[in-house]
Amino acid sequence: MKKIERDVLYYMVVILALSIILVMERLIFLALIPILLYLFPSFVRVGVFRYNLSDVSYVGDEFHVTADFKAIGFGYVEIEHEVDGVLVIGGVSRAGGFVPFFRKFTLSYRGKVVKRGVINFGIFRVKKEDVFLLKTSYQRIDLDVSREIKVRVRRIKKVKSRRIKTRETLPDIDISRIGVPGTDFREIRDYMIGDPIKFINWKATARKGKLLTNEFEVEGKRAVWFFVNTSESIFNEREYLDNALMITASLSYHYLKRGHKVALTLTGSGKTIYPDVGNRQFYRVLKELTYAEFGEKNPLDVFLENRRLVMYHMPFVIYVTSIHDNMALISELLKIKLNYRIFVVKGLEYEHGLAKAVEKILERAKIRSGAYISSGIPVVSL
Amino acid sequence: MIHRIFSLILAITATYLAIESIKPLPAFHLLSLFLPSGIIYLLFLIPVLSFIYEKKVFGNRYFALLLFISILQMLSESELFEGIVDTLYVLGFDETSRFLLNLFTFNGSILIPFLISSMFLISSYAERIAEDVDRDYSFSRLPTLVMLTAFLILFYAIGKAFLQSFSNDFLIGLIAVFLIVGGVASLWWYR
Repeated sequence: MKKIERDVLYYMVVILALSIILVMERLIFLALIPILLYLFPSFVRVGVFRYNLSDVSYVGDEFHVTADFKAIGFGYVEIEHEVDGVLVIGGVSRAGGFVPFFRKFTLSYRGKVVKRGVINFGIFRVKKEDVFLLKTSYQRIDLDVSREIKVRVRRIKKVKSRRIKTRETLPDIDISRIGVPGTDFREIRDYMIGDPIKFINWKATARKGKLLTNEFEVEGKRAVWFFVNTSESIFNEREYLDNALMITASLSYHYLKRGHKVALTLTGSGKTIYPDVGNRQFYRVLKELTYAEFGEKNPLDVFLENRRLVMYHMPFVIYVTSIHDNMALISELLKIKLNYRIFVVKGLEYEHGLAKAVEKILERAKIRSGAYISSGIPVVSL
Repeated sequence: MIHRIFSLILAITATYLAIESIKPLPAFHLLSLFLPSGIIYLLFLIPVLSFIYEKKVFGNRYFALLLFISILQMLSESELFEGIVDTLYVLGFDETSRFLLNLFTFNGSILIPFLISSMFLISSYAERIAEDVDRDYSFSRLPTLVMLTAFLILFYAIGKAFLQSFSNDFLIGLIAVFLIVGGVASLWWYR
């Protein structure tokens, strides 16, 4: 109950108590005041007669909203633009005031989108109060102006690599394990069921006394498999998720443009997009990233579910994770001798001194294990 | 701040009215024989201190006190008071009962309690509106204060006209019925 209502009710109780205790009929006359205030007629109707929204498609895009309202009635009105995942950067997203029978309101502001997914920009919350501030009611206006906000994809000129001893560089020069065999000879190996007979090296077979076959380099570049840590954790927050998804989107665009096969696995939901090339694959990945949220599944369990498929493609794994990850997935990658790169993405900055110190220690540990630390985009050409 | 100052002015005016209403009473003169008459002016300190210590200037309990003081001038109208006087008379204390009756002379005006009540309501509204101004987004609530003042003036004018034109019992009966309906409506509203 609002304070003003409490005061008015207190007033009524005092007057009634005094008139009853002292048995004074005329005092009841004063107790009528609050009742009449409560029963005072209140009616306000609000409608939108003009609405304009500028173009908005990606996270971080600025937009401008202008809405004109007509209010008819007697009382107070407060109109608020109710949009989730938006930051107001100029103007006011609210309008209101006293309505003496008829009044127009204009709401105009600039904002920035900070959330992915489908956002309805047409929802307005109207709070109505009677002139004596004792009765409040709410109205919701839904114009159904939905826009799909996608993850922002940055253009990447070059993928930076720190000067450390690595077993393998990033997959720009690597070649695929599967695909159509080319003419470049790779090695002689034992015959396996299913190998074409034309590739059997008969001379080597005669020398060794067992079936041997020639292996050729296959056409096409190596697959890049993104594992994005979207598993629920007390440390994983929205800023981390948005940064991680932006990095994944940008990197997948980078590799797809260079002809690599790209695959994606979200560890939280366990959703996997199988390796493929081209623009369609990019839109598949982008759509999945746009609607990605934290999920219950564990990164290691999700990896084990996809292990057979991963081993079949033998891709270069890019693991996008947070600084608080225990890296159980990496130890599994090491077991099956897959090459990988870790991108550690920062979320919210820690303000407390001790937390900041712990963060630095974790950062150093991750760098030692070969991870690339990033607070925004790891590979830049903005 | 301006709302709180306005509230303080109303509280001080209400205190002045309450003190002035009991000054002509014989009971007040009798009391001044035992206590210094100026002690009642200490009441002015309460709203001032509340203002300084950033409490509600015209507090609820302070309103109850002022209302009680203001209805002392019409206490002889009270059935309870009449009952006490009559009981004393019947029991043989006729001197005492007459003395008690003379202490609270009949005045009959409801104007002072009404003014104090109105000032309390306006002051409460002013303070709550002042709290609302501190929010991140707000607009002027001045129409509320204007409407409330207009409503109270109209209420008194119409009420006085009704009281003069109809018999008291009939009007009070109507008010009682209205209060019951209003009370049920309030309960429904806050169910």
